[in-house]
Amino acid sequence: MRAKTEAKANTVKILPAKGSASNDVKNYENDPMVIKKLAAAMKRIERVGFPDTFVK
Amino acid sequence: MNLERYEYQSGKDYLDYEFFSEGPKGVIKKGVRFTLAQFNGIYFYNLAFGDWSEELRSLNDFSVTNNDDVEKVLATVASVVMDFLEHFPDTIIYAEGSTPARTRRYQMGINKAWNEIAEQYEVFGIRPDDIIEPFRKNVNYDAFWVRRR
Repeated sequence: MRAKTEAKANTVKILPAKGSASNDVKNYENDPMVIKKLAAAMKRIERVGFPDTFVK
Repeated sequence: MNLERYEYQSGKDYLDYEFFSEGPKGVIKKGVRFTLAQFNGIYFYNLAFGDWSEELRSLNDFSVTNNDDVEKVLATVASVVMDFLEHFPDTIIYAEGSTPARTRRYQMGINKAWNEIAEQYEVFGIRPDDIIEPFRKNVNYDAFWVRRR
């Protein structure tokens, strides 16, 4: 019981979403860093694929 | 205990998010973008996150802000991921840091809130030897897959 209480005390909580939609937010679709990140991701994903449970 | 985080704003399509880090180095704009991609017929969103650089006119994921708010920034990104998955509940997210050190930081963030995350999300880690496994604390991963349960 004590261990359970301690584990709970050590657990942090991410609060639910705290934001709003706005027209002022930039569209980063063509941002060079975003494009570079996707290219790096694809390289790894082509090698390792998806978790099995995601493809079933 | 609740993780402190910044207010953020999203674009109307919920693919772009922005927030401002505040600390000793000033106010720094951060951007998050979820980019739709597909591999072998499976669609997923790639998460990109960085500081906005006026000089580069681009996001920069190699900048070192030192704004004494790493945890708050990570908690905000986690909150953004949760918001995104509220709007796109059936999608998969792929995330990796720009450097092993940054990926470890993501991991520390996941570790910290693991009990809550595990209840709501399936998280897989990609190990340096390219093995994909359900996320375990204290294992180093190069990248992550996340989706809602």
